[in-house]
Amino acid sequence: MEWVIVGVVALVVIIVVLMYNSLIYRKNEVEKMEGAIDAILKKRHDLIPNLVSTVKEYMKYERDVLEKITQLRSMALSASNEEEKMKIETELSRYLGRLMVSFENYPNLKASENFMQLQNTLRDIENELSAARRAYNQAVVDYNNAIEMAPTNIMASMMHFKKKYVFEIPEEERENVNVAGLFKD
Amino acid sequence: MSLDFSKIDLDRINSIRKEKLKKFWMLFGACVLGFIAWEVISVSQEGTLFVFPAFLGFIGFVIGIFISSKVINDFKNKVKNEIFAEYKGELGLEHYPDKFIEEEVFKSTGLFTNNYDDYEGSDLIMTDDFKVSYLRVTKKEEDEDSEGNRHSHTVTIFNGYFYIFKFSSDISSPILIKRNTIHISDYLPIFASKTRVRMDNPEFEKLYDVYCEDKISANLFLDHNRMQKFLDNHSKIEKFCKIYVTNSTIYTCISTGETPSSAVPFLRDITIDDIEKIFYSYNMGIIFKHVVID
Repeated sequence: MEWVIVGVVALVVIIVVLMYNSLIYRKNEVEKMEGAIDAILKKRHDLIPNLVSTVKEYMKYERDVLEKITQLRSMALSASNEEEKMKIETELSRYLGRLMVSFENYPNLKASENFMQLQNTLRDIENELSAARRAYNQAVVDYNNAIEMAPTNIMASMMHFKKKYVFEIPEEERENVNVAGLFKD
Repeated sequence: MSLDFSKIDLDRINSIRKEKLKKFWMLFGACVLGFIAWEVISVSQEGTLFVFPAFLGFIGFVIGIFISSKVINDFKNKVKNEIFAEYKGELGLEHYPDKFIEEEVFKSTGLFTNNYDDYEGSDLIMTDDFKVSYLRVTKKEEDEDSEGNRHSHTVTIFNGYFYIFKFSSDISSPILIKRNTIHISDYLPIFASKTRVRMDNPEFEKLYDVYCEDKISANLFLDHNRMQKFLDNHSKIEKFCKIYVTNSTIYTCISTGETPSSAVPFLRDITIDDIEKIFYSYNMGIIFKHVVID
């Protein structure tokens, strides 16, 4: 009888330890993905001044876009909270995308080896950022499942773990693209 | 980099194959008829008068089997020695009938267990950035019957074609992709898999498991387009598929098992037509159908 009690207690201890470890692991995974996204965004921020200085002499008609990109970069670096930072970064992605579409109108720019290298680097960074955001969302879903599903939800509430939110694109970007609008002006 | 196989005359190869298969099926048909005649006559009749035709039928069956296998071997040898040899110079392909992919490479991918006894193969085909060979990996096992007699038998670990493609990517950590299995961590979150990466395509998740120490690398490699290609071609996969990806090489395998045809998705800048032209099943003279994801 004593051995049964010891066995049950040991089992409970093991389960508690497993629950604790799995919650901590998932929390750390989310933080790791956040850190990875920050690192990639930093790479992008470091690239932008070089990109703007390379293209501004050629892309005279895109001055407003270039200025906006520079402004958004500064705002991203000084953002006070994650939500604001995410909004600014999303906006920055949009303007960089517009710039990359516009460069097709500047054949001199396409001939510039420096620009082509910068463009390839930016493309690689955007791909990496997209992959990192997807990995972040997966980590968040996994974490949220763990804090809401039994039996780990019990321990999660004791540890005051809160639900996290996945990265989402803004509402206006969910709408279908107006292709005709892209060709205006 | 793509391989240019535009010079291969697939029609010529197909016409040889059809001719050989026609002969094979005719002989096979004759064998079957001979066998049936043998069965019918020997069962329904008695006496030496009727045993003789039955015996002839049986002999015809045996000879037919022998000639049929010779027809198939002839086709295989023709492809190997004539057609393939003709193209290797033009395409930079090297064919080494008696060589196969190095054992260390096979072991390093971790696609299969390294607990085996025999490692053999043939038909190494290679260029600078592509290799494929037939491999057969087996393990001897012993078991005991109810009377205590020990019997040894051979277990097949892998029997099929092993591919190696070189490519360049930004992947920092190796990725393993294989068919989905049940995971207890999906139902009981007290368990967490440190290397399994759950992808954001639910249909893909149902069919495939992805393992990688770096989740970002896995997502970088398996973007939505690639996952969709896996799904689009999944119904053509007959045999178990495994893919191992590093930042410079893709390893994948097609397990042939007992049946010759199968289709497996793998990733490279080669089209399905290219693979049809470069690689042939030497079983039954049927060209493998490979589905490519690019």
